[in-house]
Amino acid sequence: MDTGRYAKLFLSESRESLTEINNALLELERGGGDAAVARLFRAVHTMKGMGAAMGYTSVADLSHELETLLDKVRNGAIVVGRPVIDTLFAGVDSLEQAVDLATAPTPQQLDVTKVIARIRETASPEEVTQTFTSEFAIAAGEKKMPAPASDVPAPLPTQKAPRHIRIESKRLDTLMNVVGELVIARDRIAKVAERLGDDELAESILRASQILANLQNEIMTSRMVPVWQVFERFPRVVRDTAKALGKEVDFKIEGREIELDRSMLDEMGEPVLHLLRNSLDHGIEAPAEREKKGKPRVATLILTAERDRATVLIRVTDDGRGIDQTRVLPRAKKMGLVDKETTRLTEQELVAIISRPGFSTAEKVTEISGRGVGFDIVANRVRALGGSLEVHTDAGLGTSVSMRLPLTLAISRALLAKVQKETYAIPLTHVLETFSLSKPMLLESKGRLVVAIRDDLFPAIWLRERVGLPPTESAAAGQVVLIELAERKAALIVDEFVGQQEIVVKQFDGVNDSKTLFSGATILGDGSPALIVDASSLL
Amino acid sequence: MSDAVAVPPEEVLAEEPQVPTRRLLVFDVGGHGYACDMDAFRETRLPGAPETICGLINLRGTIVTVIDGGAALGKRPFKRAEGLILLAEYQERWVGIGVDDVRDIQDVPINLFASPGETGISLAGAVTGAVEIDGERVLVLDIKTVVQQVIGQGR
Repeated sequence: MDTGRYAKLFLSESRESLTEINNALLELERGGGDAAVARLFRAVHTMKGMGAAMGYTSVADLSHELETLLDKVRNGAIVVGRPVIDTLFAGVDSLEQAVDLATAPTPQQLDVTKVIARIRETASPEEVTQTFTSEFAIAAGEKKMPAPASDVPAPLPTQKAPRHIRIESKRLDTLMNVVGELVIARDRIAKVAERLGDDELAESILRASQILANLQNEIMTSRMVPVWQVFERFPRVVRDTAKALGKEVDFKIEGREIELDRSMLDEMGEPVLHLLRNSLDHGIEAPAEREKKGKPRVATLILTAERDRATVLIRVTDDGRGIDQTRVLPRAKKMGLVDKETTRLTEQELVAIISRPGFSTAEKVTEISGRGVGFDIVANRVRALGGSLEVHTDAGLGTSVSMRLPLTLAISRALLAKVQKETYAIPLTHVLETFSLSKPMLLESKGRLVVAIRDDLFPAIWLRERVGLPPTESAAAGQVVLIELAERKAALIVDEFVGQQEIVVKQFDGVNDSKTLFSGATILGDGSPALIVDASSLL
Repeated sequence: MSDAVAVPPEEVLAEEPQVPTRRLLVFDVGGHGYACDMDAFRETRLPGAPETICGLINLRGTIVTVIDGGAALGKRPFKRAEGLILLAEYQERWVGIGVDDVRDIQDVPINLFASPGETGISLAGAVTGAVEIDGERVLVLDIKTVVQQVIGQGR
């Protein structure tokens, strides 16, 4: 893990927390009462979490003691008076120094034993009080710094820490929109320049385009956030869930530094949580059962984030009982989802079946993941995000569920295609290849029209038909887009291609089928909106 | 923009312009009026949506869904080439409503508002009353309800 980078983030966020702590403390001093205490408690709690996450023991320990003291104040065990306020101020001062030292170019941990002793003393008023002078010493062992005398603040590290500012994500969305507009404006100017045939103008536009590309890239980058910002709440949830279920689990997170666009990160938390709960509830066995099977008593649950080209793979792997085909099959047959003769399901078939609403092999309904809900919710969410789901399972050995997601919801590359006079965008993530359609390629198989490409047959889908336009006179004319989603393929037939383009994805208000047919809309070079075809609704 | 827009129960024929005109969409943002050429609003058909939706427009980078005011009220569909699009705020975003024409803005004393009676408009709760303006009975619509009934949750 790139700790240096997170140290900077920690520094900027802890400054915010410290400001909040100081303000709340001042409010308490002014007689702010319970509200001020609650505010203070929250802010200190945040500091504690951040300190612990970074391994800054001095920050975490000190925050912990302050929290304990505040808790006593909160539940009325201690009355707020001068001594309490003074101790809190002294504690917060130390906290600031601890943060500065921990994030200095040569990180050190502040010796907090004395100030902790003072906080504990304040927290236990029945014990004999003793006057305390604030003295801070640097922990021995590491490079020694002169201990600052009391009342003199520790010298600040000379190297200027890069400053972070927090921006409302809406502003970044607006920036994206504006840049999108700029791209459209640029395209219009380029068209005019082409007509005028002025070389100098063309060259200027080219330069402007490069700057624009840089700008777009910068904004995209500024929207990227590491997955840990969402993952960090999972260890606690896993722990609590496992405890409630009486299961023993070793939970690991891998690839927490992998970055995703904010828009995507916001959306993927829920599905991941569902998968983790599913594993804990249905996958992982009770300790006794595991021992009986000769498995380690403590199960392993791993959450992995991995970058794969323009996508991110989020995987939940457990070493539980796996998805039992012998239990899925009878139910699938009963529900008429597979042929009666089927004896074995492929992993794709398995995914398709367990993704169905209401399908579950869980014997009892539990509080944790309910009955049958969960997997279909995950499948739906992932599809809506333009991703796909893969499941690998070995009966008795465990299950691994992978969500493949695009890096961003905001921008994607798309193939622009026309039917009649309408232009539609087809996300390139689902496009395998394109061909010109010719008569010999169009065949009939099992009463359905299929397109033969090389030695394979793919179901033919006319985009015209899907968007409610009348069919063309010659069915065997047009262009073929071979699309793929979760290893299912189809030949999408359009009239003509306009080209490939980077599109800014925008949401729109849809009604009825238009909501499932399209995953969003974008704005074309001429300023008109174009709908983005949702590949999952075609297949 | 006010929440309620008065719509005459009878169709109003657009007057034939005598001098060349530019058809503008006039709207209000933050207390200021703005107008843009209607040409700027190239409409995109929205397949899969009912006939009460006429499509999508690009309003300065935002995709706005446009309701066909005529179809929604059970009248003849609004004429795209001649009509206007009103913008209504709905759940913190814009929704367009296509109408044939915009006539006037009037201050009507509240004691002139009467119960609408039988309107023949199928959108539940869309008509909140009726007023007589210049001798003509005009139905008062609750635009939010109209939008709600046609679009629902939308996205």
